Amino acid sequence: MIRAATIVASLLLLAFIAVPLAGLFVHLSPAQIAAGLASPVARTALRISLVTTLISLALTLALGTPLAYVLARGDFRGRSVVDAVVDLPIVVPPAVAGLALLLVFGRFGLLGPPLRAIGIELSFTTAAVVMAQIFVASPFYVRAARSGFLAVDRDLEAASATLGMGPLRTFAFVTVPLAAPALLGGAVLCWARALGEFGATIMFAGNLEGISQTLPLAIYLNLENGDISIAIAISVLMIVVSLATILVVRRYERA
Amino acid sequence: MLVIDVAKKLRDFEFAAALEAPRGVTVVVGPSGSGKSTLLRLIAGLVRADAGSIVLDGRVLADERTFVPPYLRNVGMVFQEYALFPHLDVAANVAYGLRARNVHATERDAQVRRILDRLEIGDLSAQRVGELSGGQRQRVALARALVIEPAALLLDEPLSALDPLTRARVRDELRSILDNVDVPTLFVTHDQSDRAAFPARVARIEQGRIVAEAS
Amino acid sequence: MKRVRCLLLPIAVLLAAPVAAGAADQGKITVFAAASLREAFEAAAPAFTQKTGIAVTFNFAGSDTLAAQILQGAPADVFASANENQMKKLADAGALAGAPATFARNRLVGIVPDANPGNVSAIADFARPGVKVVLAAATVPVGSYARAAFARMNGHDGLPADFADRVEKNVVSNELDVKAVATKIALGEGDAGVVYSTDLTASVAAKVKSIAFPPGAAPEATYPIAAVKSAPNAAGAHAFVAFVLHDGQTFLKARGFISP
Repeated sequence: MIRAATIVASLLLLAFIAVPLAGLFVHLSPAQIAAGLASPVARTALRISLVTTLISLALTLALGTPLAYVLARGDFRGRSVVDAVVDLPIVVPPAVAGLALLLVFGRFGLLGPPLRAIGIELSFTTAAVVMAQIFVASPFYVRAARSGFLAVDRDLEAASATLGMGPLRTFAFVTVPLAAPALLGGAVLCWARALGEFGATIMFAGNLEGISQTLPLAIYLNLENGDISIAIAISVLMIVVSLATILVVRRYERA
Repeated sequence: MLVIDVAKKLRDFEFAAALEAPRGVTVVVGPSGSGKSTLLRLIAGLVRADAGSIVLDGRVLADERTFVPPYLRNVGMVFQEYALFPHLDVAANVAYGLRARNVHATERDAQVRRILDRLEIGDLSAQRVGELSGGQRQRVALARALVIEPAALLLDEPLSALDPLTRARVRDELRSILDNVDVPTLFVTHDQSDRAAFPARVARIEQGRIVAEAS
Repeated sequence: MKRVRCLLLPIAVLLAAPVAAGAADQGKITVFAAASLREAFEAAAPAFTQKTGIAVTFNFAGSDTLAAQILQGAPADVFASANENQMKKLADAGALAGAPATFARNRLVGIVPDANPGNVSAIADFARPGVKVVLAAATVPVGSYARAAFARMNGHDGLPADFADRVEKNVVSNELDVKAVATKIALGEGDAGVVYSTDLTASVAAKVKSIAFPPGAAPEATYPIAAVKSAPNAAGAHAFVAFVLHDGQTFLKARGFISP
């Protein structure tokens, strides 16, 4: 009887997730989906999303990897505070993140005037999209990377040092290969979160086709284009891409 | 000659050890928690002393003004759990230190083959580390440390990870290998039987202090 | 079996709850209303509840978003739109329970941040190169009204024939509703925007300066209201529509709406 209850509970949740996703696919014919994706709105949004999320991911890897390593290995006062700060954007509502970015980097924000003095205005730019994405998505990578590094035996790094490899080479030849599954998983999660980012983006970067209109924004704003085919087509695309990335990551993790 | 005279404040006690180790094996015996590993880590440069100096063959590895980082000390170390790289096979593990010294691939392979043959584990070269027995792992760790021709060799309880049956056999093999090693070698252990295998020089460590030396 | 019974009871309660709530539906309604109606409707709701005993829950958003939600089956009792386009969509789809009635009008107004970083003193300046214009998306009523107004200004009063196009080039963001436009300008982001005069609430007016459209340029926004066909509480829906058309007018006028 307990087993029956377990199965029912599991199926309920599984169905709740799967059915709405599947529902998107049956709403349009493949021809309609293709047409929706070929529309200028969809193509532009796809380009913006791809470019911004890849830049966000690259910057997150570049800056987040050292941070994750410091959090994993460092033994300094206030490390738990830094840990908590890094985790915050995961819990904070995206609209709050957007507002926070606006209040700091907006025109009259904390850093607005100094930035403007050196000719930098961030609101309503593609750069702002990248900033919003990094803010909400980078913690996913840093957390995963931190876990990955923590799991690497420090004696291995010590052995590498005694054998003559300097810190950077030890990191490259020992730490990273051993933490790779965690790093990759974290990177994919980070990229996926950046791809789906909406609230902070529209608050801080605004919404303009070709500049800041990412796929999620295009979905939302095209919900009433006569029919909703473009919105559904884009949604289908995003689901397919997400599914593909999950499968790729799972395969790599098993290797 | 390895000359150590260092002090370091540890959590449980003040570590203050002075030791001179000439060529050949010096066994350092002590109970667990006596600072044995700390001694080796200080010599390897994995830990910094608060005061004192470490000099190897006249070269200062650490003193008040200098600190040579571990990757420049050329001190080979065999860790207690061997610390073999799980993502590399045996040959790559052993070649690691040669790669660090930018030894050319063909020369690297030759040296690796030589040391593996010398330690009679030549047939293991393509094996993954996870498939090896305890005794085999120990030899790989030893090969890895020896192939770089270190100026000193540190062995951190090299037999304690082995089961009692294997230990005796491996101890004898280890002795015959170390007989041919001509650099200061510190063999740290808590096991009195190890001391008997290497009677030449013995030191006792307790609470971070070298309390007796004998040769 | 005892254990299963323990599980069954909470599950049954959970599943029955919406059914039970259905019976209590007659005590409340859900109103989907354009974002610009927020202050007026929220002020009017207590009076409506006092008069009819029906509690009101609001969903304020861009009228285009609300229309789309209703077409997809969102449980609205009443729809109050900021333009006739969105209401017509629902009428054409047979989603309304009767003909819509106009219950208010509104005027468009240009706004700039108090510090006026873009040095904008007239609507004509919206077309000046480099001015950052924030509008609502073209499918949101205020966004469509604004663009219609710019188009009406083409070629008049010395403005170029492509005035509207030039303004469009200056648009840096298409917001989801009029309140977002007001917020962005109030925060100083953007140099100029277009909202309704009713959006110049005390807190917004303190942070922006308003600029009138040239006479005859800005169309008056027309707000229709209608009960939704699939309303969970049809009687309540009609009561609210009637209220808005009569007793509710004082609240709308108090916030600057023009009588229908």
